[in-house]
Formats: sequence, structure tokens, C-alpha cells
Amino acid sequence: MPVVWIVEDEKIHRETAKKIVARVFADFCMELHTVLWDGRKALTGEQKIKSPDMVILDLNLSQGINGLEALRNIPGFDHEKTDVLHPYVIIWSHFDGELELDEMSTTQNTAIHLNEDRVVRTYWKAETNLETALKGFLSRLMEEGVYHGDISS
Amino acid sequence: MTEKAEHHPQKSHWDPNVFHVSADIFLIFDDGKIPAEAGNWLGLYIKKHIRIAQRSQSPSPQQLRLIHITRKDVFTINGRDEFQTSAENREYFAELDPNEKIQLQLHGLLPFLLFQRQCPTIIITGSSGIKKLCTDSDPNPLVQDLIDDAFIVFVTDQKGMKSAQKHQLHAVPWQDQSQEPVIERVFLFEKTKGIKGFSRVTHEVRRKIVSYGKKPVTRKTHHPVLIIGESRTGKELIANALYDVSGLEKGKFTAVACGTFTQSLLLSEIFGYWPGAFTSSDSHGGMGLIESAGGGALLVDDIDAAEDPKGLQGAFLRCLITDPPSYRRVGARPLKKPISETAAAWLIFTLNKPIRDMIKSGKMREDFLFRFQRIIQSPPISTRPGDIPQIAMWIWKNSRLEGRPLTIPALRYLRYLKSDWEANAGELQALLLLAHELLSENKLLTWTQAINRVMERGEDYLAWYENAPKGDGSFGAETIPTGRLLADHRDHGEKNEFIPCELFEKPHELMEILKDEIRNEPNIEFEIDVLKRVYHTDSREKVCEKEFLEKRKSYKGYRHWYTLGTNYQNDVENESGLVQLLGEVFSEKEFSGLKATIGLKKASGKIHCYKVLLFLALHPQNTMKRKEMSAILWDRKGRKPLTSFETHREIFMRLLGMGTEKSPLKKNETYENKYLMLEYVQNEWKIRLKNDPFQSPSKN
Repeated sequence: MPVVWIVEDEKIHRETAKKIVARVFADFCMELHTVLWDGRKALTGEQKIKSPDMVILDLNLSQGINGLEALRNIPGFDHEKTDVLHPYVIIWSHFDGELELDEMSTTQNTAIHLNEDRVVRTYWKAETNLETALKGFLSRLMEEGVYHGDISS
Repeated sequence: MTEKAEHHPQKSHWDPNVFHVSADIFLIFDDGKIPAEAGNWLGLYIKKHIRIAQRSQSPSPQQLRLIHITRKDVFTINGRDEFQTSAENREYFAELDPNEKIQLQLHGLLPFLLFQRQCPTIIITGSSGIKKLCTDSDPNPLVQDLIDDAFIVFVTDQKGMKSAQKHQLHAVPWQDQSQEPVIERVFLFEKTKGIKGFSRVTHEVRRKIVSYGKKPVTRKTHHPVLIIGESRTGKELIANALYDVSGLEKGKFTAVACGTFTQSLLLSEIFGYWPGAFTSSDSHGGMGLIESAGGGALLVDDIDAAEDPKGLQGAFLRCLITDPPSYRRVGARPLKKPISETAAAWLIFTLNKPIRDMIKSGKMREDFLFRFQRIIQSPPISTRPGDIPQIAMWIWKNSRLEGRPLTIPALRYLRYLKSDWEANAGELQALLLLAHELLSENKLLTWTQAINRVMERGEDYLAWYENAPKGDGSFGAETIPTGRLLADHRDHGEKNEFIPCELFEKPHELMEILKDEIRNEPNIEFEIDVLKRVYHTDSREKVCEKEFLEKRKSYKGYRHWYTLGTNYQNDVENESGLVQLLGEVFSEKEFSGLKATIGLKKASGKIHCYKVLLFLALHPQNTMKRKEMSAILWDRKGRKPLTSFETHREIFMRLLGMGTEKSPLKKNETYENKYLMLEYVQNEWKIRLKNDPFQSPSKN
């Protein structure tokens, strides 16, 4: 059963994303686990055992926390073995001076890198964009799967 | 080991990134406990394998992978520890690649074996394992592929043997301590690694290669070999494999492509020349390829492509009956030089045109042909579709492109693609490279979708290039659900190309309505509707939806529809089955008109027409399926419709309400059928005839 993490600080967006995710998965006739997280609070015991297959990520979290930094805390990412996060990441954010995707790869914290082939960025928190990205990545997830480790090694 | 290392100094150059696995051994025991007899068999096999591998001349260790599949997990067994082989034997064991492991867990063992594996497989299991593997997928075509696979061997108990026999699988009992059949198969594959594919057809080719690669003791050189096969079927790979198994001196394989030289230059290249043979010739004369290949092999590639194939064959006649081959250089022989020379070269020829055609067109000498005792047919891909996944993986690896590895669903899609693979591996390569191009543009596409999109451009591989996107961003910019593909395709300014038809129901308006319907509900509504009609379901309740989803999972294409009503052994019953179905899809009046139109045909002809109608009626919105269907309709090699053009034309005209005063269609009743017929006529027949689709072909 795929696990989708929604890392978003605003509750209304979290809930919207959750609904969209549920709808898209239902279209694909798939069950899922959704984990909601504001990127700040400590992870609960249940959250800690759910390694993500897909992450919907807000880049600007509250109190100036960077979404990429927050990703370091999610389970299934072994810092000692790899610095590449393999799950599919959909960056779902407003466009207010944030970095473009290609800029992110050079300026992001070196401790964590997103797998460039598995990350897309949507703008203006548009629901249709999120839905399109979800459909695409879900198809890929069903076909390719996710390895929670460093494939390149 | 030090001693052995001296015998195999090349081992130090072993590249760990290259696939060196000789065999995968799967142990399928749900509870995770390996029975003692199975363990004994495996332990013995490992020891034998290592012993043979150590004796072989291969520069890389011939590794084994031991994979244990239990009810809960898939994991690699440490063969060295489990079976107590010595520490030096570590290099003979490999682990499952992480990506392979994901694919195995995600898509199951049988698809993994048929589409993703790259080496022979030994499956050690009980009868329950065999039953599970076969019955889980039954009546899936995968089971048939499993039977056709020559390199999957089951090792099992007595009960399992019966089970394997029932499913026609290749199996040996685990009491069999000789293990000869298994070892023979694994090392046959190992020796002919250059040949791709596991099918029985390819297995026969491998056996011939090993047999012809042995030099008869009575001869000084090998028997000449003729390899016949279409372009890109792997003739050169066969030649290379022959050379590899022959044990001839390494680095002495020479190839000459006959099409690249003029005739006189070709002869002097092959046989050499005396001084003054031609202007600017070397004053000492020149050595020919046949001489330089002495002690090795000379591949004379594509003899039919030579400027004068008959002349070239004539030049080789004497070489073929003498052992070692004797030949004469081109030009005037200086005094004191021998009349003819000999070279201990193994002659291998390839031919890519059918022999009969060559003889008919006067390009082949029969006496040349008769000089060969050893002929290998390189089978075209269309005759061994089971090999397509492995060939595709090989092409993908060799193309050295960066990107995602091929997935099992994509390989499975390729395997069951209805194509005649006219250009063989070339066509497959083109398809993969074009799909890769789309993938690199769009991260949201899967391999399967990308291949599907390339296929959308046309059924003919040349159409992939003709219909390539023109750089306006219209292709690959976003993920489009399959159901929308046709609707979007229609929007690209193609309205002007509509053929004016005097339909009394304003077809354009109807089309707009249908377009909206398809846009709003890309797939599901229409297909549920069809299912209802086909399965007599009266409501749109969950039962129907579930059934639809099950069907969609299992067929994902037109096959299900195509087999509807044709499960019987004889044409008459199949015909009546189809008639019954068509009666449910079309109105009574429509169908009686159709029957009258095609009523005079034979049963087989009628079945074909009925299938076309059923198919078109059920899938108006899926271009992919329509293209597959048109491949059935149209014989590309023969350049003619498989069934009478007139028959189809009559059917379409009747459905469109044309050409007859009493149209079988009622107003507003079956516009979707009319719509799809119009689409079909426009897209398929118009292209083929390049003219008015309603015009008889005789007028073109």
C-alpha cells in the first residue's frame, strides 16, 4: 500500500491535498496511507514507521523552516548510506520568489538531494496541477516502484 | 586458487558492472524452510557449477544468484555460507540488483521471469509452488510463454513432477543427482551468451551454433556456414557466437560487408592482389582478408548486397570445397609464385534475402548454395515474440542512454504488441529510442505510456518518424489520460480535413456532443455501458464497476474484446457467438442490414467482418486499439486489405446511412457508431487511398 506524505504547514492546504490524493488514488483503484505533517511538530510513533513512496511538499513552512530541511526528518531516509531521496516528490507551493527546480539542486542543503528524475514543481498551489502530477507519478510508482535506499551504489 | 589465477590471468580485468550471472536459482518455499533433498540438490549443483566455471576459459566468473521467495519476503541467500563452499569462491555468487528486486516484488515472479531476467533460471520448489505459479496466472498467456521458455527448469519432488508434466513444464526431480540436463542448459546459454532470447526457437539456434562451432577431426578447418535471415535479426551475433564457441585464436575474427565495395575492389580485398593488378596497387601486392583471417574466421556479410552477387559467389566456389580454402589473388601472377594459395580461415557467409527470391531474380547460384552443409536460419522477431523483452533490454543497455531502466510492464507491453516487426530489432530500437526521447521530456510519463505514445503516431514504424512532433510543444508536455488522447488528437486543426458527407443528422454536431461526453468521462462511463450490454447487466451498480475494473486489469487492450465470442474450436460456433454479441451491441434493424451485406461471405470471412464491427463499436475513443485493429484489417506486406475492401466499404456506407435509400440507422439512435465509422474512414482509409474513401480502389 503506497504511503503519501503531505508536508504542509497550513491546515486548509493539507486537507485539500489529502482530498485530491484520495480522489486520484480512488481513480486508480488503489488504497493508500496518507501521513499529514506540518514539518515542525515531532513525529508520532505511527508516522515514524511510514516510509514515504511519494511526498507532497510545501517549500516554505512556518517559522522559516525550509521544506527540504524538514524532509531530513521523515523516515526511510538513511543519511549514513545516501544523500539522495528516492521517493517521488511533488513540490506544491506558491510562486513567491522561491527557487526554481534547477536552482534548488545547486543551492539546497548538501545533506539531502532529491532524485531529479522524480521531482516536479507546481505553482500557485493549483489543485489541477497537483492532480496532474499525482496521476503521472502514481502511474510511475505502480510501474517502477520506489527503492528506499541508494540505487546508484 | 593462486594456481588457478595463473591459468586465467584475464580475471583480473573483470568489470563488476557487467552482467556475469550464469543462472538465477529461485527457491520458492512459503514457510521459508528448504527441504533437505532440495538443499542437497542445490549444494551439489553449486559445487558442480563452480568446478565447471573454474575450468572454463571465461575471463569473468560465471556467477550464481540464489533467491529465496517466501510468503512474506524476497531475499538473496548467501551461497558461500549456506553451502559451505570455500572462501575463494565468493566471486561465484552475486546478489539481486535493487532495481530488479523492486520489479520482482512489485510485479510478481512470473512476469519477472518472462520479461526481466537475463539468464537461465532454475526454480526449486514443491508442487504447491508450481501450481501457484501456473494457476495464479491461468488463463493468462504468461503460462504459455512459460511453457515456450527453454531456459526455465523446475527442480521438484515427485508430486511436483506430476504437476509440471500437467502444465508441460521442463522439470527434473530433486532426487536426480546427475544434474546433467540442468547443467547442459545453463552452460549452453553461457557459451552462446551473445544470442538474445530464451524461446525454443532461439534454443535451437544456440544448439546449432555449439554443434557447428566444433571442428570435425577429419578437417583442417571448420565447415563453411551460411546464415540466412532478414536484416537486424542477429546474423552477425550468430557469427560472433560461432567464432566464440569454435575455440579459434582470439582476435582473428574478420568481417567484410559486401555492400560497401565495388565488385573488383571487394574481390581484391577478400583474396588479395598481385603487383600491378590495378592502378595505384602496391608494388609488393596485397594480402587479402582471407589470408589475414588464417587461423580465425572470415565473415562475408550480406553477399546479396554485393554489386554482382553471382560473380562473388562464383569466386568463392572453389574455396568452399577445398579444405583449407584455396583461392587465387586478383591480377597477373608473377613468375615463381604459386597458382593458388590456401588460408586456414573459417568461412562464414550471411544472406539477408530469401533464397528462392534470389534464385528467381538470378542473383544466386544454386551450386554455391549446394556447397553448404551447415545453414543457420536467423529467425525474425515476429516468429519469436517471447524474445522481445530480452532483445529490448539488450538494445537499451547497448544504446548507453541515461535514464530510467526498462520496467516489467513496458517489456510486457512490447512482448504482446501486435506488430509484425517488419524491421526486426531496428524497429524495436527505433521504438525504444523515440520513447526515451519522450521520457526525457516528461517526468510524468511511464515507459509504457511513452511507448504507447510512439505507437500512437502510426502502426507503421516509418510513421513514427513521419509523425514526429514538430517542436511546437504539442507532444509530451503533459500527462494525458488515455481516454483523452483521441479527443485532443482531433482538436489539432483536423476539422478541415473532414470529408463532407451528406448525413441527415448533422454529424459535426453529433461529434461535438460525443467529444464533450468523452472529455467529461474519459473512459469509464462508456465502457461500463458496453459491459452492461455485453454482460446483460442492467444497472450501473458496483457489480458492474467491479467487473469492469477486473477486466481492465486483465486485458488492458483490445484482446479481450477480440476474443469475445470466438472461444470455440470451429468457425460456425464462433460466428454464432459473435452474432449474438453483435445483436446486443447494435440495434436489430442495424444488424439485419449488416448481415445482409456480408451474408454471402464464407464463415471465416464473416467472422472477421463481425470482429471488426464489434471492435469498432466498442472502442470509439481509443486510437491505440483502433490502430491495432487496422493492422488486422490491413496486410502491410501484401499491401492489400485482409478482407474484401468492398465488404468493408459496404459496411461503412450502410452504417453511415449512405449509398442506400433505406438506411439501417435510426435518427439519433446510434450516433456513436456512426461517429466512429466516420473517424475510421477518415483516418485509415483516406490515408491509404489518398483519395475519396468511398471511391472503389479500382478507380485509383
